[in-house]
Amino acid sequence: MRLIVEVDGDIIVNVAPDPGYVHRGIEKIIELRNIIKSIPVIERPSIIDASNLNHAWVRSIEEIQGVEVPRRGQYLRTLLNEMNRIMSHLYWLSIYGVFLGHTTMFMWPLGDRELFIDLAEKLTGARITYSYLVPGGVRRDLPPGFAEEAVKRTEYFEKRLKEYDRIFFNNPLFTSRAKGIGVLSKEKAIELGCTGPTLRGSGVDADLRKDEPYAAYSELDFEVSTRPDGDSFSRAMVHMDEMRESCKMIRQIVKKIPAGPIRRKAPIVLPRGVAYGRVESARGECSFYLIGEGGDKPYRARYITGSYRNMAAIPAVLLGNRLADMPTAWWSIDYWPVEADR
Amino acid sequence: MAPIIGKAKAAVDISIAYLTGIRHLFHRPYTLRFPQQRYAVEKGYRGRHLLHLDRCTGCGICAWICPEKCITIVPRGQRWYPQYFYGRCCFCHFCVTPDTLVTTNPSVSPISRILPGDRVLTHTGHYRRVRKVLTRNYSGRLYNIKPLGAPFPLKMTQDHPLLASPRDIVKKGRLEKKPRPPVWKTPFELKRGDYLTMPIAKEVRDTDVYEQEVVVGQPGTRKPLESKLILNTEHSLFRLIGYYLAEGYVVRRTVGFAFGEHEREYIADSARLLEKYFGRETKRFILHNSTHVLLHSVVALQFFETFGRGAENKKLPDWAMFAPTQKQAELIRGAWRGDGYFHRPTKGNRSTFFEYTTISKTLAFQLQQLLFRAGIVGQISLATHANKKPNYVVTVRGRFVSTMADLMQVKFEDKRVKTFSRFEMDANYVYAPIEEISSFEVHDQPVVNLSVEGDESYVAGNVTAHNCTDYCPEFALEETVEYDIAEYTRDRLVWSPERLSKPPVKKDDKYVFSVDTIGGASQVPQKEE
Repeated sequence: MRLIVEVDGDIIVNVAPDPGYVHRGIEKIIELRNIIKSIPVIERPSIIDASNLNHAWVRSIEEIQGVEVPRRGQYLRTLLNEMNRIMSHLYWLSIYGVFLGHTTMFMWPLGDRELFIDLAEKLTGARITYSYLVPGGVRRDLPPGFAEEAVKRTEYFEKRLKEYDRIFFNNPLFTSRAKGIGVLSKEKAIELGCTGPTLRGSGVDADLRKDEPYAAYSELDFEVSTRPDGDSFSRAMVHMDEMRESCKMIRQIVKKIPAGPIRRKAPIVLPRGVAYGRVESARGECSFYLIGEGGDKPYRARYITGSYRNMAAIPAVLLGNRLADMPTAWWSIDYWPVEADR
Repeated sequence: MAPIIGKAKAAVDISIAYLTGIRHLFHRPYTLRFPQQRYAVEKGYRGRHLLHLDRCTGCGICAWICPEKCITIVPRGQRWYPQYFYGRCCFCHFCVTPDTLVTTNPSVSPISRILPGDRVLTHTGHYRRVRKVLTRNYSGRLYNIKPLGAPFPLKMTQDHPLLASPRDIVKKGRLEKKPRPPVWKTPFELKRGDYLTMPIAKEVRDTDVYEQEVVVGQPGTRKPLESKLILNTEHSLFRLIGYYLAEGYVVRRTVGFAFGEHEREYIADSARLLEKYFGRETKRFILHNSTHVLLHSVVALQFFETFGRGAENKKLPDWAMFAPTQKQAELIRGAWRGDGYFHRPTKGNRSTFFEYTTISKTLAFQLQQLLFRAGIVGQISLATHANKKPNYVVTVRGRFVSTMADLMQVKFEDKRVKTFSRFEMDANYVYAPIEEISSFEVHDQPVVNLSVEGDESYVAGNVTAHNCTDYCPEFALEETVEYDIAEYTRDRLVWSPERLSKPPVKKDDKYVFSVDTIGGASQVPQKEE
């Protein structure tokens, strides 16, 4: 990914995003592989948000196969998705910190990310690339002592979020650079087809977890955070709010999780059919358009991620700003090049 | 005025920010001093693989599922094993994870009636799904094997492996008593007296509440009304189920328990339990010298119907088979009070034993499995009578009698000079000696074999058999928590089966790594295998 920026003095007059440097042809790779073997590949575009991307894939497969996932499996999926959302936002936050020259904000989120990485390691056996969700359910059950650990860690993390507010988000060094910078109006955001925190930062109440509840989201109590201003600051605060909500959700899940099987046997072949599976990943809507032709490999899989759709917003938020404001405005979109190029 | 307030607020905010940061000067550091300090990984971490050479059959399923194609199957003498190329391995561990198990409880049905998808007990003591039923016509020798404690002899082909523990002759021409670790043997290699194994089902699933959808009539409308029956699975519920298995029957809208007139204690107990769980008053009905405890309840009827209607079809569903041993002990107690008895030594018959008689084959085998779980070996025999259905008799004899007496809460003083049992038992298996083994020639005889997911084995006629297909018995690969990057240096990326089979070294409950000093992975002296 590179941004070709034309400036007049230090005012940005033209921006051309040039993606494709990390394109790996994943859609083609999927066509050549068994549906189970594709799972590690699908995670790779955004390993910091691996389980959400994985979820879109298994949802589309299950829609074609007609397999119903047991409720405990649904809850475990939701649990890992929310943990992954926090991890992904923390990674974004640490890079945001270092973009703005705030080294503490680079160190802290990366350190706190370990809390959830360890938790995920307990659950899945892997730290980052889980391959945890498989058609029909999940691969492992909750380990003993997980619930207490999860509650302890989320409560500690919420305290840390207050410290983040004090050191960074209420800090005039940040607010003076972020408020009113990179404004993306509501109409413009809808017109450009943005999703995820970028769209909600412009005041649009759109979240797949509420609008089209999948997995266990319909049984959880959470709020969709929106900010009306549409500037860098409001997009950043949407990320912060989502981390708080995710913490709440994790505590609810470990409390409410029903007993029962975690996986139902799903066939290894993909029957003839078409499905569109979508989930709300950390960077917006991630979706698979999947065509099966009866074999164990799909005929075609179209893979659309949040970053890919938010790429259109990059010129919109940068135009007319000063060059020095570029890091604030650009990274607030949470654009992950690998995820966009796939 | 406003700019001044803004500036003051900014000054306050920025000093808060600085203070927040400065406070952390006095906190413990986040970081570890790698490599002197090591990060402890969680149990179940997907580290490098551990290969069990004895279990691996070299089937190649692991090589097939590997997304990175990093597994090759290499020959070692007569056998084939996987070899890993860790340069490509992404540690997804699809090669390790077998399919997740879903419960079902098998009844004991003839092998020819088993369908793909049914669950059978395998040699690891789990119930697993039948992948395929294979039928073929067989010409050659057919073996007839009858282990002690099984009602029927087992018929099998010459090449069919059984999990057995051979016994050698020790001094005075006796066979050694203690069983050796079981191995797969074909009938051809077995002799009379060798132990055959019966696995003990180990899965326990404790549920506090039992739920069942029931249909009750809606008064006046004749429309069925669906509702939910919720019962607390306490110990006494299992005793009630035990009573039902032995003495219970369901007729029209009534559940009845037929006791003898003198069994006052059991009559009162079952009536009390029925009233407790179904909240209806029970009625008594006396016919000759038997007393019937009756409960007119459609809900209770539908509950007890899951345990079989008619004495021939009595059986136990899943949740009862997987219940904890304590609760199952209550079930055995209830059932034994009905149909079983305790024989104390008399003048005519000096032996001491517990016996249970039923005409349901399924129930006999299920009770035997429950007894195994309680640490008791019961043997099943078939008693045929003229003009009667054949009886299956579960008998507990020898040194298991005192354990059984404890379980039954029967007062029993062991006055026997010596007790004796030809069965042996350990945590995983019950060992039963072969009583008879014979063979005969057949021509074009149809034979059935099962291909079972996971373990590739099943229990036929109470004996553990392996199937003859070429599927991999899984669990040959295991994950270890070894994650040391120093192990994966450039010229040591290919892990041979022998190297994979070495478990990680442990010292003082910690794993020992090849690097313990400063220098890091790149400076490790590289050794040849």
